[in-house]
Amino acid sequence: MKKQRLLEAAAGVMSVCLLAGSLAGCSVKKAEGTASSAVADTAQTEAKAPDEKEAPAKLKLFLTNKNIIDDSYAKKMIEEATNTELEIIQVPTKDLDNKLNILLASGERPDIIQCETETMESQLLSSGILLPLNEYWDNYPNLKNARDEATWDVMRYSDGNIYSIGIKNPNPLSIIAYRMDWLDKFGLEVPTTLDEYYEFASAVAKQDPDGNGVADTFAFGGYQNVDTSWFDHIFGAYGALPNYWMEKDGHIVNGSIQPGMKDALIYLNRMYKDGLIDPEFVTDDPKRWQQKVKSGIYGAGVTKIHIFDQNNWSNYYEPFIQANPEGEHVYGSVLTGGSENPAGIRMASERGWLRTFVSKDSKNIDACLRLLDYLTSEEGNRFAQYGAEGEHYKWEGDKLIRLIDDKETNDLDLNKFFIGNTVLFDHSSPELFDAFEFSHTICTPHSVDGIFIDELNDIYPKLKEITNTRYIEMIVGETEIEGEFEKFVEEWNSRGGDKLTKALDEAYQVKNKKK
Amino acid sequence: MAAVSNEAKASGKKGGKNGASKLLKAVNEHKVLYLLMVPGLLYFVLFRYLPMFGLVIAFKDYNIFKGIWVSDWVGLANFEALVHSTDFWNVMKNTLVISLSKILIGFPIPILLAILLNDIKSMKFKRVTQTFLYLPHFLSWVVIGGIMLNLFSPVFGLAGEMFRALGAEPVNIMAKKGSIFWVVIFSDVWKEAGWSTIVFMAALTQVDESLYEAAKMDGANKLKQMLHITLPCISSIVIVMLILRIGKVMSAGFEQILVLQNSITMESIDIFDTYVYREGLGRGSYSFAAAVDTFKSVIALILVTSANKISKMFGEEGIV
Repeated sequence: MKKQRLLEAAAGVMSVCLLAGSLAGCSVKKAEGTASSAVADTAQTEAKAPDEKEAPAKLKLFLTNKNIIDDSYAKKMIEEATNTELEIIQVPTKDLDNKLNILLASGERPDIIQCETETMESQLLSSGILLPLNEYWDNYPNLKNARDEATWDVMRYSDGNIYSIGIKNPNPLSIIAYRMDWLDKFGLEVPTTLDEYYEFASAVAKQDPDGNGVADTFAFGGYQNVDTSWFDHIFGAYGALPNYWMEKDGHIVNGSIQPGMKDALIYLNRMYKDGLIDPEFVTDDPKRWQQKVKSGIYGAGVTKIHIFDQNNWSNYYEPFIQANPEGEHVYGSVLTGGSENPAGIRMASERGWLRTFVSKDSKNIDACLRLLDYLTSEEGNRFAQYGAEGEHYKWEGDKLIRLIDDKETNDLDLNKFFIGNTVLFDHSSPELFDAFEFSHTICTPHSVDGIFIDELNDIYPKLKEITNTRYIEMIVGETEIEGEFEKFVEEWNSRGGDKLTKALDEAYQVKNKKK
Repeated sequence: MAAVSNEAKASGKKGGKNGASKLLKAVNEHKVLYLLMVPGLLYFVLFRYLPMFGLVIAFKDYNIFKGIWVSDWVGLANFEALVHSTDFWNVMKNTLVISLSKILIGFPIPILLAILLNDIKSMKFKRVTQTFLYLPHFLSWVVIGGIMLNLFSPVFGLAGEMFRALGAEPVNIMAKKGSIFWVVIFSDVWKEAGWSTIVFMAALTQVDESLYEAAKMDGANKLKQMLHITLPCISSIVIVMLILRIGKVMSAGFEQILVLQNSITMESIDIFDTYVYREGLGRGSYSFAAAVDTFKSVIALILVTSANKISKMFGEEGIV
């Protein structure tokens, strides 16, 4: 009895204090973000958050696997900042669709759902289980202001609502790159034509540029993905990109069936036969490919732009430079000599590679939006990636210096909450920004970004798979290119490709007229 | 699934033969034995029979957001789509070819191994060999897939070294339509042969020693002994094992194929299970996938019952 009364009294006192605290909190909030002693500030919010609104709201999140651990520093801080308790189901990106399908079929509805593929996305969008974010976001200004009008416009579904927020990354994330040190070694310039490219590629593969006496260097490799994007520099030189919708004379066409692709395949087949392409590109997975890139066995082709960041974005540069102290990359322009109108590298969707949705049936819609709002706010976004100022990073001018290494970052679960975040490059080296700027000049616009039609969901995945299979078969010489390419085009059309192209073009024309 | 329904049938048949009153009497007599059977039966009902009602989605246009009952009936539309799809026939062909090859090559090997091991005098050698033979059974396909990727790597792996030593241009065995089939067959034999060997070795211990002694007296050599004593004595086990294997013909090894598939080998080794997995769970066309799977199960059921009939025709004991 006594105890209870004491508790009640304590609760009363506390709530009064907190009311005052939260009122004060509103006015100081702005200062908090920029204040230098973020540690002290967060400590304060830590103390009051749990009681601010009775109990933390329990949320179930379905996210791509980043190995976020319960009770980790970042998770706790985010929970406290948003007064939530997060139960996170984490699934490897490639299993996201399977797992989500099982989850939904068994009647479970996570409050926050992530998906990567457009197939899953259109399934979700047409299901009517999603919360239209735009109807709520006047109360959540950070969320609303996290993207510009143009981005929200491609996020807009055909019913006029916006249901998701994607990760904001620089676009494109690929670039055509060459090993500068190897170019110097052979006395060559950065290739600008297909012939020059072939000369350098042969030198890379055949003349043992790393001097270890083993033929273990290649122009480029790749891993299994249905975009066949590893060959973009060659395909592009011949005027199109397979599995990519592009505008041609005002109409939408798919790159896969453009006539120029046949010559590109012949070129690639010659490269493969001459041993210039890593023969394991068919069987490699992302991990193996990354290891090879980092060990520096590739010298000429499409690669991840990350390698240009000397401050080690995504841990590409450091392993590379350790294995190749002399190593240096240089980017190159679109190759000429194949087509009158060469195409550059492909762009990702402005929608972001991983979209986050909120379930309409969630019992805690406010908490969901609160979480999104926090993670998309400048303060929350920076915290989720870099941690707390003074403790995990400091500013030197406009340059951010990290005070902890990758392992510590990982242990604290920082840089793991990929929920509608904007990837920051406050600590990156100038070389990366140069590469970003350059990559913008050599990319092919993503013309149909943000257009949803049912056929894209029904037919396109299979078409992409077929394109990928047939192309690779022709490149490695499993099938003849002569005759087979024509057969492939026929198959592509008969499996619904021509119908899809037409429907997409119509949608595209409508959208363009609106503008 | 087919094998399961057969077992269930077997128990049902016994009940039918006895008649209701006799059954009651039998239950009364062997209360404890029947009680022991209950958990097993319950397992089959709960986890094998009840889920079968889910098959109704093969006849519906199942939408996960509507649920099974609300989704619209479409009759046999899914089955029609399946028969008309080119993928389906490719998958059907692959499943049968891969499965039958696995049986043709993989089934006799354990029998041979068991007979060879049985004749080894040194117990120690026998045990060690046996252990090494069945060890791969405990590795998961994901692990084996990783090992093979490294082993067969034309640049960095053992296969590459061997090609170069022989003066040949290294080939990526895992990315060739022709070679991947044999990779599938032999990796399966390598992984599972040792495990089946144990079953046959157990059967061999049941063979009466005096038969061999009598045969020796009559001057039969080792080969003759094997042909006329060993094989006939274990033939019933061999038949049962074969029938069980045939019941699984339509499942040609899901995990294995999933691990070995890549852009090039995707179509040439695509089987029912991987196809259903991709279509159903990957693309969310549950109803179509369920139709494919139902079709597959029906064929498996037909196969196993006919294999059983045939074995009975030849005077061997079946499993039903």
